[in-house]
Amino acid sequence: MTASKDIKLPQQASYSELPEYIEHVNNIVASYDSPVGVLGELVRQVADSIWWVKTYQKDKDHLIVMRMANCLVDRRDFLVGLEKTSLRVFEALFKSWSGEIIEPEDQAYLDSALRSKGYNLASVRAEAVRKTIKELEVIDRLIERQFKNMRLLMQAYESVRFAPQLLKKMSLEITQLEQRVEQSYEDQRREVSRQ
Amino acid sequence: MKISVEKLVANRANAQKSTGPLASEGKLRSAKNSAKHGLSVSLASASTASSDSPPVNVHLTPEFHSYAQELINSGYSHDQSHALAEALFSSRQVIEAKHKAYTDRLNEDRLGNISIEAVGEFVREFDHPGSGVTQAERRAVVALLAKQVTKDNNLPGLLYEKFEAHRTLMRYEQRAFNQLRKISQMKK
Repeated sequence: MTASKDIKLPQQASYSELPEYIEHVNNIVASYDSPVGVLGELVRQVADSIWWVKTYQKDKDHLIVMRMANCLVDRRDFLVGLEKTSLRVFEALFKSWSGEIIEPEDQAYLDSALRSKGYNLASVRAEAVRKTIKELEVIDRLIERQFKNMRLLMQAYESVRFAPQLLKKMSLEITQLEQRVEQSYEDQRREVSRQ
Repeated sequence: MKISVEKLVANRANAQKSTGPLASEGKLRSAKNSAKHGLSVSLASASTASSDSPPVNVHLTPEFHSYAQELINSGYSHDQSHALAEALFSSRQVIEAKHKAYTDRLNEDRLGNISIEAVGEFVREFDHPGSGVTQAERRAVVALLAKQVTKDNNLPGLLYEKFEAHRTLMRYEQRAFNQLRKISQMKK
């Protein structure tokens, strides 16, 4: 890695080339009536934060299921092909946990793995969460950060969006103040001339 | 293909023979080796990622001027418009760094899944008579490699590496987005 990033030009850049990412950002921008310029860039950044919340949540689930697979696959038992075994258990667990249809032979394989370690689906998940608690805390902090980013971006969006109105209001206030001052000078002059 | 222990040790041994960069150009390049994302560098002085390409000053990009002009037209002062356009680029830089950091480690960068006995066997084979390597030193090398093998084959650990990369960027995120909000407030 080097000192700094290649700076892409905002109007043409997309943070990620993934088609689903581009679609996600376009949908969000469209839901804001497709703003351009500074507002468009702010909305794209909000969309990016939403993207990360979804990604973190998905990968957080994966992390827990991977840890569940680790509880069931003993490294010493499967020195060769450990990764393959882990992935097979992972897939079976993931499908099972998310209520997807699971092949009978995978189900049998999973059941035997659970039985041999003395777990059921809920207890192995509890064990996995217990072992991953520190990592999960970090992920939760990352998710929380995205929500804070969104709030800050929305505040910036509102400020930029209503800046012209605010400017008009401020100019009006200044004009009124000037008129009031002018009026008081006028009153003073009249007072003096009357005396 | 994952990297083999043989290759890793040979690479490390060859690296020990290296004299490091001698020419000033090489020294300049290697001075940037430990730099990770450049988010601590101010945008005005930021250069592009590739050392081959010339530095880019964001103030000179057409988009920067277009944003600044748009903000001036909305009623922001000249200075505030420039500061806000710069803050917008800074937050974009953080976002780009996050996308770059959230990638899976390549198999080539991981050691294969081998037993500690196999690692020990290899280290013994690699060592030649008269090298002067003591038993304790050999044990330390084996322990180090075995630790790396475990780390490189721990699937949850590999997934968590991506989160960890983002954790290190969190303070830059916090600073960039706070700055953006703060500068966007119109000053009376």
